[in-house]
Amino acid sequence: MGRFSVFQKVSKAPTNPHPSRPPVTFDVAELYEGPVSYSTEADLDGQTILDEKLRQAYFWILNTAIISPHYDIEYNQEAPVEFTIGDNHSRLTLPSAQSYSSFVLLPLLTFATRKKCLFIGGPGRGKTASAILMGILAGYPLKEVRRAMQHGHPQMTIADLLGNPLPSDLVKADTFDKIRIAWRKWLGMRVKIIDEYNRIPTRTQSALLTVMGDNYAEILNQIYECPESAWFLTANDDQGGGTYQVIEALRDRIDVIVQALAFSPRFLSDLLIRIEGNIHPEEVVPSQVIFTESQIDQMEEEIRSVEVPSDVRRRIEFFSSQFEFSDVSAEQFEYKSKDTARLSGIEWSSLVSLDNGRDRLKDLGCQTKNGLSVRMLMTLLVYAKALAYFRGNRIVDLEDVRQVLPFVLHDKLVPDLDAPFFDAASNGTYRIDRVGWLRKLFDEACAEYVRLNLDREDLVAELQSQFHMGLNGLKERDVRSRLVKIERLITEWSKGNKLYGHLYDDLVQLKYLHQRYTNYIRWLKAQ
Amino acid sequence: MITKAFAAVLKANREEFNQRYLYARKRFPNIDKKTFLEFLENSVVPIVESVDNFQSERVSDVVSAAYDIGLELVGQHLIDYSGKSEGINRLWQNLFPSVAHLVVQNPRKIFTAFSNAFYHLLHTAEARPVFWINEMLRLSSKCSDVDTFLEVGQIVAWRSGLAHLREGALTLAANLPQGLAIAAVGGPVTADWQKLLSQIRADPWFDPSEPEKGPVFGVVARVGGFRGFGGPFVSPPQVSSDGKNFWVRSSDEYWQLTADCFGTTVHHADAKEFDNAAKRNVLPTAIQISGTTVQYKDHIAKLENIGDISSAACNGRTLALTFSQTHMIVLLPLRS
Repeated sequence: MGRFSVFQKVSKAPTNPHPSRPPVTFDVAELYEGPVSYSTEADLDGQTILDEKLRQAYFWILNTAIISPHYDIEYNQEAPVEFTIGDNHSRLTLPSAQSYSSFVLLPLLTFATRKKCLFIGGPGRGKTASAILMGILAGYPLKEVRRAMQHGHPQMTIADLLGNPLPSDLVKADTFDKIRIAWRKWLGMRVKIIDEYNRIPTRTQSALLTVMGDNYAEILNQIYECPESAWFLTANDDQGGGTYQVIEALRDRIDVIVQALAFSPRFLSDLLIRIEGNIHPEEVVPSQVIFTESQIDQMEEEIRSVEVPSDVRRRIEFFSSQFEFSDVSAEQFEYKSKDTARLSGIEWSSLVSLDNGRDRLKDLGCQTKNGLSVRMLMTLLVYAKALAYFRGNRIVDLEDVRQVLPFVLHDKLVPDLDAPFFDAASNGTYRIDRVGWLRKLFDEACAEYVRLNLDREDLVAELQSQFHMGLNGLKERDVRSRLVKIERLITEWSKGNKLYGHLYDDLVQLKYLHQRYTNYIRWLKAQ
Repeated sequence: MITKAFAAVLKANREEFNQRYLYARKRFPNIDKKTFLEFLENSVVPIVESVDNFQSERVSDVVSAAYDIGLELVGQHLIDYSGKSEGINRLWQNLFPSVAHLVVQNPRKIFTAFSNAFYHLLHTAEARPVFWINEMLRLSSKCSDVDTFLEVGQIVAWRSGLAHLREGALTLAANLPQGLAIAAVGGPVTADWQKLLSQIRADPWFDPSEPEKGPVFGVVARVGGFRGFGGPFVSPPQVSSDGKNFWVRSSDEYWQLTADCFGTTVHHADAKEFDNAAKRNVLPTAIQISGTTVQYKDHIAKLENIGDISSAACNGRTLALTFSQTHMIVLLPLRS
């Protein structure tokens, strides 16, 4: 007899139905589909649709396991209904399409893409419970997941984290490679959970960094290669609290940060049912939503193959070009970046005081202290693909990027809270609300992109695509004409006396193209 | 009255069954405890008794499956002992106790599938759910496994009025053992199966139970009706056909119409299908329409008191007509 089988109901497929024409032919099998669901493993035949399974897992977690009525990832098919409530004009929107709870969705996308997710939020909000569920979705028994979970504490040693050399070998061995290591079991798991990672001592954090960053563990010259895995870390405080300061490199390895929102008291009856029925959701995860190793592999492959169309990619490029540029950080064009200033050790306020001429309110780059790294951009693309895949699409939509962006850049794009933007009365909340600020930042970048009409008139993109067609067989006359085009464009741009981040990146790109063509002419002449 | 075997299973798994009920209450806040207890007593007990006599070691699994599915049915108000409406309980009381040899093989599968099938039959106008139960009782002894019984259930559902399942049902029938296939389509025991199958496929108005019945030109079915009286249409409909399927427009709604000698069904469609069919909607020259009279070859049908014919469509085997003063679509077979 299947235990708790009613508790294990999984949402019926399709969980995110796409508009489709009514069928012209009828399937006789539909006779046996209806209000009663047949929920046993036999439902799952060889042709499991993995994005559907992922959605079923999402809805099971949302409806049954983690009570999170916060639909903060909003999608709309038509304009949403909006309300303004209270003295502070709080805006409540009712989305017109299937929307999601980030606290459940982001960990699932992390599970599917085998990335690293940090849960933040006060105690008792389901951070650890969510992480455990991810372990169970990967097919591990609950006991194994619990035992493999690493609990950060101030006395945690590298041996606690990674394993111990066998005592007998320590005595007998005359070289390091003869010492066998009893590696900790969690290192071999496909879902790794570190609870309260900000309580781990700094030295042990460095050992953890190697496992997280390079996927191997090392003790006494012995190496343990870990399998590809999804990581789930929890912290009560994201801003450097906890027993130990989290080393920056470790924070940088985290791909998304998701906040556990407050419990809604209206759902107290659900808690009551759990108490009365002695039900623990993690003990009754339905078999239909548990993934095999090969399914996770396949899912990751399918996510990677989701297409990012060029118009969406251009918006990401435009957005990311806003932040790294710092006109006063260097004399040479290529070094005009915030990173140059950071490496020099100059006080941020001193750097800001050097900056004049730009509209510091209009320039989005003035709102941050840093730019976007390659790792951040790659993570953003992966999660945007994963979200599109989760929604049953095979092409990323701009909204997918907009929705995942705040969770990817949450801890990465550092706001300059002294920037004029944050001084505006209506923007005060963004000093606290990181997700809202990042989303607004992206919206403003997109608005600027539209204002500049870059969807239709992107001269650099045209020159770039011309270059990507290849240099083979190109005549000197044609190359010279392209060089003239580049120089004319730069001349035109230099007439305006303001230099903004996106313009800077375009100029760097034009210089690159100019250099490649110049080299090609030199090569042609040498023939 | 709860039997000893049933009581033993409930007692042994009391805590778990209570938890299942608690969770069902979360899913279906209006679940009626009294109806659920009635379901257990009136609908599950006879099945358990029957299973206990046939294979007592399967009682536990049968009770477990019946309990879960019962919660879903009662939670969705699909069980009715008041007699006000037909509920799925009729299926549980009349069919399952008599097919214990199949129930024990996979109780969850058969309970779920047949409950859903019965639901469709109950909610399709003109379908005959009681006929379906009776036919399944008749055919159950010829089926040795659940999957075969399920396939027979699909064929019989077609014969019970779900005309849209015709193609799929005939494909299933073609793959069944000959004797069972003839019985499932309701043909005479002595029939030549291949001949019978080709006759059914060729003519939607050929009734396998009366293979000798000759062609008659006249009204065989009236489909639809005004929505205010329980029909699907808000205004008198129009029909069109692409030569194979019938499409219907009523006000700004569109439907697909399926029909054969066992029944008629309508299903939501979109404007595109109707419009595409309307462009190709041509009546054969053998059909002549004048006012309220239709002539097909030498046969004449007079259709009076429902206004003039407002549209006509033909798919080769059936003529569909609509009228200015009715929300019904009238069907006439075209048999040579």
